Amino acid sequence: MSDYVVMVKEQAQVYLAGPPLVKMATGEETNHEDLGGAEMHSKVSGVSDYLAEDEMDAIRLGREIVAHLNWKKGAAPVPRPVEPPLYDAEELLGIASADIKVPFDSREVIARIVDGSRFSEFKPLYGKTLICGSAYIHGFPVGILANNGILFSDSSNKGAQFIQLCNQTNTPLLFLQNITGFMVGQKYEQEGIIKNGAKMINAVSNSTVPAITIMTGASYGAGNYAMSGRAYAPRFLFTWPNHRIAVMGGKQLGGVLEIIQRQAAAKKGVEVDEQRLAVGKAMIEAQIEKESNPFFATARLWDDGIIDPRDTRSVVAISLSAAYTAKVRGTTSWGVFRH
Amino acid sequence: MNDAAQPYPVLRSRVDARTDDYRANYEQNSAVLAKLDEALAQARAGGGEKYVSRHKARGRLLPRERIAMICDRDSHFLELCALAGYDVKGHKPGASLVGGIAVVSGVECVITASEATVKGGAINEMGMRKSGRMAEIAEQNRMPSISMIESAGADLPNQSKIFVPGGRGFRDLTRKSRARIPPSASYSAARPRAAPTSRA
Repeated sequence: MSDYVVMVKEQAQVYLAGPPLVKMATGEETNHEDLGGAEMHSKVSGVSDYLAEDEMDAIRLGREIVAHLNWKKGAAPVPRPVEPPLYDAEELLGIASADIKVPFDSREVIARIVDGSRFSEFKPLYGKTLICGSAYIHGFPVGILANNGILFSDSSNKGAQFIQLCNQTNTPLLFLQNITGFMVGQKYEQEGIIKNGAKMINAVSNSTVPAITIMTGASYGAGNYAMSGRAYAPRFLFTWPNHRIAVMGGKQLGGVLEIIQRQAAAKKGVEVDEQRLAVGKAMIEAQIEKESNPFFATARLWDDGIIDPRDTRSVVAISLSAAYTAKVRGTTSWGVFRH
Repeated sequence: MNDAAQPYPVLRSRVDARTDDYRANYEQNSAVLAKLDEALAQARAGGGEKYVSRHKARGRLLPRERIAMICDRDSHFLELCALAGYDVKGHKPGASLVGGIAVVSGVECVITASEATVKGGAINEMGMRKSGRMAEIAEQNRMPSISMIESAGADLPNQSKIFVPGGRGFRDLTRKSRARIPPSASYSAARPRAAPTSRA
């Protein structure tokens, strides 16, 4: 099915069905080379386009084929000098909280991955739990959205606006996730946290500039969604080894189950089996802890890999360069924003 | 120096490397990174010493060697989904496939190579999902893809997990070709390829 096929002589074989299956199906006696060998496919069937003498020859042919694709990148940013960050990436290991309940200032992360540690912050005095702003990484322009706490109505609105602005200027997005979720409670519901959070999700979902997501700490609940989690199809998604990902924390989920079970027992007028409840709670907590582990997540392709935080700048730069192989074009068309 | 080129202000750091918090984070993050290195070493070990030496004795290259050879001399290789299938029953870390982004003849490409030292490179559930993700990356970013295949085909005893969704791989290839994003394959040693759809 590929456009070009190279097969290695006396080594590569390809067929719909191998000799044993052919014998089972039709009774025909045959051998691997006559049925699907590289020479047969290169000289008789035409399944192979190039017959390589050996593996090294196949690799040489592969390089030759790519060379005659006449491939051009879809876009390239205006070339500019690349300054390394002013601060040592090594320090990211001391900045990133090993305990995801402990917050850390995402500006310290930005300062260690962007060119010259230079950052033009957007709306710095508004919705301060979401840092938005412009920077360059290895000369590529990026609009950065980085959590500095929980998402509130104002920070969500700010995020939605910033994503729209980056689409206006064809600027790729970099999400630095460290999010325990959206703020909950009566006050926040009355402020319309749902409709404001939905604005950010609308913007993330319909944005057409490339997005790269790095999970640097917590990735919980709808915060995972609003910050361009896997389901929102960022071009690349990498995680730091300290990160945790789940719908909510194990303790919270255990607590929620406890409240529900106590209410159900009270309604029925029966005693709560305390021991059973405690065991059930411990089990769910342990299960969530195991399933929110970065190794569990990466094993299941919830991300494109766990990276060493010190490599973040290089990994993002390679990803941005890859994204620029296609055209980088923002959109002006969005779903309905509920105001 | 480049103030004219980039007038953005410089961020001031307030990190103090002498605090207990900093030291504790550094220590714990380093410990998880050591675990990461260990897991990646397992992935690089493929099917283990026995199968790796048998493979080499046949004069064949390992997947990472094949990738290193096809890349430009000064190219990066950003390996992706290196730990797919890690600690998942019936899988080895890496899911019998090595994949990533590198530069070939000056072109950024998505490259995959079968891990033939694990069950003859047979495609398992996680490997299928990983290869699907690599195809998605190539398509979304409009990158040519190179597949270096040495695979026994489908992992037949586990066919129920891959047969139906697995058909998508062929659909993706031809649709990419239509979108003029060339997929190219170099078969180095595809042993019996079990395509369960076609027996005629």
